[in-house]
Amino acid sequence: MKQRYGEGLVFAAVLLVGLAIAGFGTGYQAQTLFQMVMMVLLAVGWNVISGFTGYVSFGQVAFFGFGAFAAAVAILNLDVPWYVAMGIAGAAAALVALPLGLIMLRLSGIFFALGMFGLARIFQLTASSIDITGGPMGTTVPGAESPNLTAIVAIGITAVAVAITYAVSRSRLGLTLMATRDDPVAAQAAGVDIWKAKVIAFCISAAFAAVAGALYVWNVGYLDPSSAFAGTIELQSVLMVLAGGIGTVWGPVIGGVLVSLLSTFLWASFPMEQQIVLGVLTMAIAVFAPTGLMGALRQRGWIRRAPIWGPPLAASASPVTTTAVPRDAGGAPVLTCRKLSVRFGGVKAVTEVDLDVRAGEMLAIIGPNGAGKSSLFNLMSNFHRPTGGQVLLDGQPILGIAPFRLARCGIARTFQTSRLFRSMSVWETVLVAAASVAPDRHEAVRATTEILDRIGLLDRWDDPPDLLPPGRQRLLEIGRALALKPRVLLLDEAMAGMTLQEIERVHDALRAAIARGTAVVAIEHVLPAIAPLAARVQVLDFGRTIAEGIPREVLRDPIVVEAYMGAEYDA
Amino acid sequence: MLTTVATLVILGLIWGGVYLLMAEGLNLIYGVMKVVNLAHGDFIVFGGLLALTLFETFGVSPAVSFPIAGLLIFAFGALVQFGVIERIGLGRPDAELRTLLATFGLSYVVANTSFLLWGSQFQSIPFLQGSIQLGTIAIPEALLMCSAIAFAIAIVVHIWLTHTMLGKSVRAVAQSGLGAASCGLDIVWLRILAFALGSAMAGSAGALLIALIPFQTASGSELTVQAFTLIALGGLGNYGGAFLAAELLGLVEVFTQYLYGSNAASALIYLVFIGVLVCRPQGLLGRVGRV
Amino acid sequence: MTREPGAAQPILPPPIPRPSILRLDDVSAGYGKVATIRQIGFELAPGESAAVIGANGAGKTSMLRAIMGEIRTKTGDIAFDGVSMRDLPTFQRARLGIGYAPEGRQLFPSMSVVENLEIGAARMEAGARRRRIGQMVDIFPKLQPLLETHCCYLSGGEQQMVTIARALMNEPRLLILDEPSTGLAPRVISELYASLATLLPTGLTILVAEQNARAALRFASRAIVLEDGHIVAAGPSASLRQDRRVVEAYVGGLAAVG
Repeated sequence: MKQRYGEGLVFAAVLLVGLAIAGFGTGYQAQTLFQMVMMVLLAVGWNVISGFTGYVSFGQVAFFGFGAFAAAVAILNLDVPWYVAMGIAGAAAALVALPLGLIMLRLSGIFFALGMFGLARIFQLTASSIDITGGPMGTTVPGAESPNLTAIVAIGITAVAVAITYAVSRSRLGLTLMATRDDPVAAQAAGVDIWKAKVIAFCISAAFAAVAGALYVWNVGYLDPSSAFAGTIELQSVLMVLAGGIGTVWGPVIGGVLVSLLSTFLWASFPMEQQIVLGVLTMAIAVFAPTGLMGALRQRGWIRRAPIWGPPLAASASPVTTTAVPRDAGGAPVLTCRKLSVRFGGVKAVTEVDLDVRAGEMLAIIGPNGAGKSSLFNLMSNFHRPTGGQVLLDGQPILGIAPFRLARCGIARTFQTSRLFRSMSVWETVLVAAASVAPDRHEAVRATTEILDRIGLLDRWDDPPDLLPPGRQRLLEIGRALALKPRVLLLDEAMAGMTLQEIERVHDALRAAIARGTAVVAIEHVLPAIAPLAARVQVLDFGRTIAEGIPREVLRDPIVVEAYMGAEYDA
Repeated sequence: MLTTVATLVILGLIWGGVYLLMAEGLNLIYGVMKVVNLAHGDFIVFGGLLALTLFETFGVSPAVSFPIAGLLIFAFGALVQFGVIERIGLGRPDAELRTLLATFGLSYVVANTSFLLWGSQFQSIPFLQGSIQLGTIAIPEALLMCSAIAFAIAIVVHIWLTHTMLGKSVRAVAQSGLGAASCGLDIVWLRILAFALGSAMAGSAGALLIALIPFQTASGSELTVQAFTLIALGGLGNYGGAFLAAELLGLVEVFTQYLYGSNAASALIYLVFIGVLVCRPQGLLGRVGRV
Repeated sequence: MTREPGAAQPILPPPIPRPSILRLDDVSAGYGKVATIRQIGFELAPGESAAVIGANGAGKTSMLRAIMGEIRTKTGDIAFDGVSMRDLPTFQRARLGIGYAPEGRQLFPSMSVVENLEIGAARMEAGARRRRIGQMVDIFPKLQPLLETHCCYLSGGEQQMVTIARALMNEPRLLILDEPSTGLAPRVISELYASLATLLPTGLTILVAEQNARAALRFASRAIVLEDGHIVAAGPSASLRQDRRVVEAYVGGLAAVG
């Protein structure tokens, strides 16, 4: 708590110093300051898409140039004052970013980075063909009277932008962005609408860049395509974020100030070699210190990110939830598979599997490696599309429902290999799922506290998951799934690698969930881990159901024994 | 009309050869390391301007100097792989992002170095100014020559990759690093070799390209995107696909340039690029395999 | 036969009289900060066949990876043929004479079977390499018609044969297999192990990690059982099959319930 006020105080002090220089400094000082603040704004914007969302873009300058041209056209054509032009630039960029984001964010990694680069070039070529702005040669635009004014305005706008990113990073959106960046698949399974999150981030990031571009035009009073879309702007904003710490709130601000000072110095002393130095720095940071200054401080334990919506409620403030009566225990099945099949290439992974599970019961699915168990789960949670048959939730086909929506309406799952969010704490891991089904923050916090208490991780709520022993990590994943308050819980070898004590923890948590009417489907390679809870067992081999019934009988079935033990079972 | 179309088709197909060489190097590097060298285009430019200096100082024609340019960039590529990419530790979760950022920085370093050495103006080597008459169709000799060399290099490298033990080892590293290491292959060394070879191909391509079209030190990033478009179109790491894509892109480029001018041609490349990535990320011939 | 995790006394009485080909001394290893195997002591005599069994996540693959140098050992030492392999990278360990068929097979999917085998002995002289491929076809006759086929078009069993053949190409003295039976039909598993059994008389040492304990215990003369990164039981396969704890926790998981 203390640290958060500290951050605010330091930032306010820096703002005051900046405003003082902008207000009372010489024209040169104000101009230098303007350059710096404008680049910080651009860096803050780049950080939202590349740092928070993990989509590294090499075309952020597309929106910078877009903003510059939008503002220029507004001023020249509509004859609006500069602040309206800036608003128009920002809004237009966010509007354009919406459809573009829906297209570009389908790409990932290198493809997104280069695709954005291409987009910047397309924007530049388009801008070169606009007549009112003088085509490729450019034009003069009515600019500000004094650099002192532009510097003050730039500081004000950038402060607002930093405040917005701070608010985002502490909000539900920030939580979902982090989850999306760390593991999009697990995020969807935790009920996160990853598309909504990343498109919003893309739009925010575009708007920031566009306002920076509008500031730029207003400041210099001149606009031409090759300066507005210059690669060096891109390089500087990337370097600023990297140096300060990618994905942090303050990294771009600190890095922005440092890199601006450096590049101003370079520009004054070694104008020809400036880009070499900046390029080498970018390489060095990418290789040796990818987390930047903030990362280095965090590693030493000098600062840390405050947990979102933490800490947990005190034990007394977290009343035990009233156990909901199973809606229709023993009645109609909650989840049903009818002749479910899927093939990958020519390989039949699942063939005509029928399955029913009722509220308040556990169904175990066992079978040798490669029997199609995990594929079956992917079908039941809509991560794969079946090639035949269907899955029904409460009698309604789930086909076409996005996995995150399915997770919210009641089908939660875990994964065979551990999929935790590596930059989130134990608390946030569960919170992200709880927040996607809770009506408000209070309820999400309460539910998360309760779940952590139930799985015995409340005392470690603020630890990063990779400090937990493997069994506890699996437990945490189960907790994340339970936080969705699922009607159906799909566990994929959840208890592999757990100690007996941890298995008992899981059993307790599952018993409680089953008692409240959750239907559980559990895949295990071997049965003992779940036998005490399973009412029925279904055996898969080569994608087909080869046996089903109560455990004791199924396991005596010679077909099962052969599939499991190998042909020459001789015991 | 028919003659024009025929000329454009032939020119486009010949252009494909130069494109192919430009892209094959990037393809090799991507194939082996899943790293896209964003400085690839700047390597091309550097190689080209190197050939220009050789031409101006010693009067060496690009047809002779391309191996020299290639060799120099080979050494530089080896250094980059050893000193930068290898340090990042491929296979870690953040490796892709970091190599991307590192080569992004590298591209500015190389481009700025070229700028210091050669300035920023558009430059070209006057080479084989005549043209060959095929009936009514005139084909510039320089284009034919450079394209032939480019095809030859691409084919030699392809044969090396498919028919020699060393080449096969490089492909093995590309398909499974762990598999290759468990067969006793020194994958660090092989990755350096692959990166150096891919860079050398860029350098040679530059030496040939500068004899055909003038370029400046800032052309690098555009060439990177062109090369990447091509291998994305052909399916990353797919050599047959790259050939097809090179021819296709050569045709598209020549036709658009003829019909709508060079600005439209470069805008189109980017559109094709984004379109391919969004609609067919596995490339034209790409196919999802098992294993 | 069983012990509590963390105890320091040696695991395998009686000591092996012959010099060991592989020796693990108090080895702990893992990823990042977490150790996935702890204090593993284990020895293999030349010509022996041994199995490492245990559930998913018990540390079988980690143990093999530590032997091959894919993950760093935190404590302890691993020696091959009496020489410590500390700090050697994977490829040099392979060159010492260890054939390794890793988890997930790690074939070269868009290369033909022949090419895959060639890579297995890349440094061998061409004539010798051709003869060696011939020998591999003798061991796995099913590969004969498939030699020019790309590996991605092979069935799981065929792929596993190629993986093993590739690991044998360089005439190793120790063959290490990680879950060769994964995804294979029981009949194919038996065939695979039958082929492996024919290699033992040549003096080859085989270490196999298996989840399929039944198959592994039938094949190997000796085994260790891992649980949560520790060795919880070790000894001749025949006696392990009788060990109540092993049967309950693992092999007879099914029977124990029924």
